Amino acid sequence: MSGAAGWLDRRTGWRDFFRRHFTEARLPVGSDSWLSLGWVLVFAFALQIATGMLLLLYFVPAPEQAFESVGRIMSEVPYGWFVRLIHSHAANWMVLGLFVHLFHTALSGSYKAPRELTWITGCLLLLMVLGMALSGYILPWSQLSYWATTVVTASFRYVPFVGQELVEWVRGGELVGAPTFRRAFMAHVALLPAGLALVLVFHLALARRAGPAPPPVRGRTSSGTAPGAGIPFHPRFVLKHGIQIVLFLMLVFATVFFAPHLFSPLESFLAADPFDTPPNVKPEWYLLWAYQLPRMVPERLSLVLQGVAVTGLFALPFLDRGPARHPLDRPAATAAVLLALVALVVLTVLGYLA
Amino acid sequence: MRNDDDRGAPTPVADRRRALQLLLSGSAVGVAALVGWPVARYVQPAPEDEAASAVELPDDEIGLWDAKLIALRGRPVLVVNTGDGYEAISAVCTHLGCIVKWKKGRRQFFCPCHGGRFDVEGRVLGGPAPRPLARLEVEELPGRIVVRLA
Ligand code: HEM
Ligand code: FES
Repeated sequence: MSGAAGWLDRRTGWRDFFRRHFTEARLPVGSDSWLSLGWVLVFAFALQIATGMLLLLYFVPAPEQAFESVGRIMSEVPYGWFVRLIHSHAANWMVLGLFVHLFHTALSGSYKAPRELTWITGCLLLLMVLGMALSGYILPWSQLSYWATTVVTASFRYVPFVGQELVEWVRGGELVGAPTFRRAFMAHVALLPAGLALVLVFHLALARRAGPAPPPVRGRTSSGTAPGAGIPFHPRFVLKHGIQIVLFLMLVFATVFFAPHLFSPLESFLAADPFDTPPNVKPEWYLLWAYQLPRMVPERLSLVLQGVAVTGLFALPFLDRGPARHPLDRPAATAAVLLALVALVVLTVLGYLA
Repeated sequence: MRNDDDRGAPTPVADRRRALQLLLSGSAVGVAALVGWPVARYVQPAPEDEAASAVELPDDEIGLWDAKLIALRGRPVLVVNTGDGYEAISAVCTHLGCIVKWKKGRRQFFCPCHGGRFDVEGRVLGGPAPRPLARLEVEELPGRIVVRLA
């Protein structure tokens, strides 16, 4: 080994690390398409960091100027519309991808020993990405940003004991206002990206340590592949993942070019006005279920249901502990996951139509 | 457990080690508290500006059963002329904080978010709101009215 790469390698051992964990890591066949989704999500996170940093060059992080600066990004900055639309569209597709990734893991029983911590870090990632999407939503400071934030933060009031304090703490004051904006900005560009990167490293390291779960087989309980078996990561998996990343980009570009307003209802074109609530404020699609639920059951009950759902999500590997992985070999767990999925979809559709 | 060269010593090594560990974790907790308290205070909502807790209006500005939206310390307040006086009602809905609108025809406040309804004194008539709208103090003076935070 010679040259700069060799010099670096003798001091860091990166070649060996790279070979062991990437190019020559052996993975079982069969699960690659689903596995790719995970890498699509890693790519999407990187894309958000890149476009987010570009937005920061023109975005003015103060409530009186944010809306106007976003307008300038859209109409004056060369390709500003492109950067901004990629950031907001990819964010939405990323959330959808996360839900699919999660439900696939749940239905294929891949959260079982020894992968419980991979599942838990994954749930944390989901919550943090939802936090990213929510805090990002506030930043353009439009009517939609303002009122969706008002309603979402106000619903923390139903948290037992500390509800009212929590609402004011999150808002940084009694009503949504400049302190809320600054908190959201801090969370969106500093706290959450750093936290996400950290949890993501753990998630990936844990996933690699256990190896990918092979596709479940009826009546069998295999949870891993024999060491040394399987196909090297490079080139097969690199290509497979690459293809899905390209498909993801095609989806993002398709909506950016052909449906640029897909994720922006009318109220997102009006500057925030704390004195005028527009009719029909609704949160974004991934929160419609939480918006719809309290409209159908008493508010306290809906809070309890949400608490149970989130706790159940994190605790899934400890509730369904048997070795069986095929969905038909563990009907109770499968039924519970399917029920959650159906409830989520139905509530979302009802919330959309409401 | 005793160490060999420690035989007969008044303080066995294990005891000493435990004491040191206790001391160390004690100071770690102390340092964490010393850092944690200021940080917790720092991220607490800052106190609000105390300015402008009263607003004055000329008394011919609001027609009979009309309402005017004013800002009182940055909060929206609706002032309604009821014929024999004025009502000043906080426009922040007690449900999830949307801004209620005055419906002159029905003489009610109406919330656009989840359909909360309130009478002219802020009492809940329907919808999910848990509490009446806050009522503010109105002082009628010759030719003008003054709305105050109660
Ligand atoms: C998981 C990662 C991320 C997600 C899901 C996400 C999501 C969002 C969303 C939904 C918006 C509102 C888009 C709009 O309606 O305009 C937004 C805005 C913004 N984001 Fe992000 N974001 C992510 C990462 C980042 C990072 C890492 C940065 C900075 C380094 C960043 C900087 C910004 C800025 C400056 C805005 C305001 C400009 C605008 O509204 O267009 N974002 N983000
Ligand atoms: S916020 Fe007014 S009824 Fe819900």
